[in-house]
Amino acid sequence: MPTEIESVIDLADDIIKRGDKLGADWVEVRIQDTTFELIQYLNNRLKESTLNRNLGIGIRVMVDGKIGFASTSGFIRNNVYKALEEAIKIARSSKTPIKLAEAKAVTERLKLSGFKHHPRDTPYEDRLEMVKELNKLIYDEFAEHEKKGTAKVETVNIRFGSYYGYMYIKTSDGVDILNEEMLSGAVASAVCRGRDKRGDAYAYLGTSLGLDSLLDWENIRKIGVDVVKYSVEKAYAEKAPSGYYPVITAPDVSGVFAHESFGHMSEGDYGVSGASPLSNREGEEIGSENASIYDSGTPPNNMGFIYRVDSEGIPTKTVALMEKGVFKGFMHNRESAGEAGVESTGNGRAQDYSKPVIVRMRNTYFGPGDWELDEMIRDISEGVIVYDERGGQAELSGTFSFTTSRGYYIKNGEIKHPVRDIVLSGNIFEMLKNVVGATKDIEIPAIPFGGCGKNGQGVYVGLGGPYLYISRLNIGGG
Amino acid sequence: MALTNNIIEYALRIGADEVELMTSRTLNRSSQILGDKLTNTSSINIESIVRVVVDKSVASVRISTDEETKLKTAVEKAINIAKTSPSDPYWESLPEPKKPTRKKLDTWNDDIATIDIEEMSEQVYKDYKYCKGLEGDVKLVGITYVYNESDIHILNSNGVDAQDKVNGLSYLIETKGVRGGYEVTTFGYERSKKSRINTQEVIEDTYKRNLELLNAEKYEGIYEGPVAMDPLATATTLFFSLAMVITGVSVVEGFSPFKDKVGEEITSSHIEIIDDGVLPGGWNTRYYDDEGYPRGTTRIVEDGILKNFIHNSYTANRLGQPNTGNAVRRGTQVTVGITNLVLRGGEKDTEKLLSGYDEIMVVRNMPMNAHTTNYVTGALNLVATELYFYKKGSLEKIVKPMTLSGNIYEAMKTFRLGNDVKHTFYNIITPTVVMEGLKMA
Repeated sequence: MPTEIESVIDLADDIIKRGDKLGADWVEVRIQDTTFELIQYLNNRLKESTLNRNLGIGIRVMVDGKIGFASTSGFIRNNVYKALEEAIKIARSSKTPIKLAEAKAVTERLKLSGFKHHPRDTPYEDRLEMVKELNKLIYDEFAEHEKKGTAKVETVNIRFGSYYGYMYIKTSDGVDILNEEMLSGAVASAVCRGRDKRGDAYAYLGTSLGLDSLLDWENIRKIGVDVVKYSVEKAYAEKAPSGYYPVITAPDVSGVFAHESFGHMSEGDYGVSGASPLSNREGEEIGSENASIYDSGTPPNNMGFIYRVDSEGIPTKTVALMEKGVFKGFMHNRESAGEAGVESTGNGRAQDYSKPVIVRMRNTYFGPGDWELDEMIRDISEGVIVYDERGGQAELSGTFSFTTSRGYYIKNGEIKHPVRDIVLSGNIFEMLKNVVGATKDIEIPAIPFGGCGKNGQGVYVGLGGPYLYISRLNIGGG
Repeated sequence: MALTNNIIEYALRIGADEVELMTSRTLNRSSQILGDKLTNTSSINIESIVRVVVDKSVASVRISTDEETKLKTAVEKAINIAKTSPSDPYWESLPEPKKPTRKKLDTWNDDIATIDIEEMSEQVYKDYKYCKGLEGDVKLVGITYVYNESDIHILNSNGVDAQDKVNGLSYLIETKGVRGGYEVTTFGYERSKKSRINTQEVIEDTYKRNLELLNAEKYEGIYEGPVAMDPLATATTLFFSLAMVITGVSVVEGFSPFKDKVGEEITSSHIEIIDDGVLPGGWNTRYYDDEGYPRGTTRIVEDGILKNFIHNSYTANRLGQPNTGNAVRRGTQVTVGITNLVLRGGEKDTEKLLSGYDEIMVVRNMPMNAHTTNYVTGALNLVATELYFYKKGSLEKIVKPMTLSGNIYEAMKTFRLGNDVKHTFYNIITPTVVMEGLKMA
């Protein structure tokens, strides 16, 4: 444990003992020491390099069956004691009893391994050099386009960042876990002008296992080549058709459906409160047999954001949310699981020490199918294939609207030409019924820029899946 | 004070040419009910951000403590990063000290500072029970009541020594209506810097809207007539478009479509748009910006003509324009952002304005997907979930969600404003705005 967290772990024991003396029936202590480092190049200039270190303690207590939570920055003992007293006061002022699902008493020290370059130990200069090279490559590529008269660069934005550190969770019912967390990534975005239109694109790579892949020039080079290629392509892209069409979604776009539209309504807190349209519908067929959705802290092949233990110290299970069109069940933290009378699935997450644990996704993705991408394209008489999600929004009712940055028009089983900014909208329950098939391979991207927001808390997530073939979806935009 | 000055001196001693230290202490109390479970929380967050300049190279380190040894380590890290990084040829300097533009701003309210977690908890539980009494087709999803206070202190090696103390309350309710398999969720939101929030008013309005929306009917075909956005819908749309491109950063970095349009008409001719960082009672009012430079009042648009952009010290220096005191920190970096953006120029009573159209579609509350608006081009694709279709001033029907698309910068040239001005939580203060050139399907 090479961080400061080692020197304050004894504080957790102290807080638990004090909490007991002050009348708490149960105490949970979360100690955080994490760092986020960022290098940003904007328009051929180092914008600023920053380092952000988060140190603090969150304390949750139960008094007479009621919960209270308080937190403090830093590790100053007196501040921590005050936070404990505040948490107990808050619990006493609460009105509603909470049932907590049981947690397995376990002591573990979980470190990530299987890589050579830990971001903590990698010199700043090495990462800076990679960003400089990527920046140069992108400008060189655009210079070639300018010579040919095909495109002129307008803006280039490169971010290279790493989140790393430890969370320590100790409870009075036996959880004692130190968990290492890590997520690094590089993303480049570019805007250029073609003959009469602008084109924009982004490309990225993320990993939860060190910096090895991000210090490999071939991987970084691909980001640069792709961002130039796709931004120029878009500067000549045509307007997408609008109306209902067959759509193929690339893995990251499939992931947005899995996460935003379906994942949020499968969160246990919405389930037990009745806010989710899926409440009390376990076992019901709600989608086509070609649609399966999972949420996991440890997705296959080390994809996504590796998250082995949640913020309550519960091992992260792979949860089948929907299998072959049948809704299987909700994701839970200890509170929602206690309410539902089931075990926690390890979906209790807090943005940081200062926030309470709520039900959150980890890596949410559609399961694979048995189609080839070529087969899907050949099957479509008129439609689109969409890549590069640019965000969107979904309501608990299932209404959604997502934007994609890159797309191609398909006619008579062939990709014809690029189309601009396609917006996908509709209702998730209709969409799920129209899933015709999925490809064999899946991808689950995750990067340390942005993430998922809920109740004012942002957390890193992965989202993905295979290419999905949807027979009918409302598209527009461009 | 001694500690912060020590840190500035330490940074200069070990090699910084310039140094800035921002420290803040934030108290956040929250009472939330989801379903029938009440959760109360309290957090005290301390943060310190050191920004150093070495040979025109800038680096920042943030740490969530104000302990001196850790701050010194942060300074050392920042200096090491800056020494290893390439210089910024455009860097000039951190701001010089300057007195605030107004003496009394009422950024702090002693009365609301007395609200404690017990009182918030009582209020939320009372509201929960009140909601239960209203339940029929519309049910409560959750209520969140939050009290925030912040003490912010900024010093720099040029002598800036700026302090702000702010507090406020906010209240959010979410409801869900279900009738015949049709589901609609609705939000209600209010905040206050002056007094306790009238939560009952927010609840009743939210339930009323949700019930109304259950009667929504499909609008057949495509609608291309005038669209009126209520204050929150207008603010949601402009926050993710106009507010992004009137910043000095967007001009310097080439993102702004208005970068060469100063002196040109960008909205309809009677519109005024002002960024007012010292607006009395403004939610985002403070004496100083995040570089310790006095907040001010900047005329962005006057009679439809673009007059100025908003700046921090860096973008002001680069463009040779005055610093407008709009430095904000996003994460650890200093950038530029709106403070209180005020739209003025309402011509008449909003109802009269709307009834002057043969047909008009009114968009209320927060359209979905506004954050994906392309602020470089102005292309927007929103899903409007609260829609009211009027014919000659009478409500014809409530309409099921429709996609609204078009170009917001083109639409700005057709803006007509009502007089129902509201402070929205996007820190945009606006009445209902009627615009043309958008399409709904």
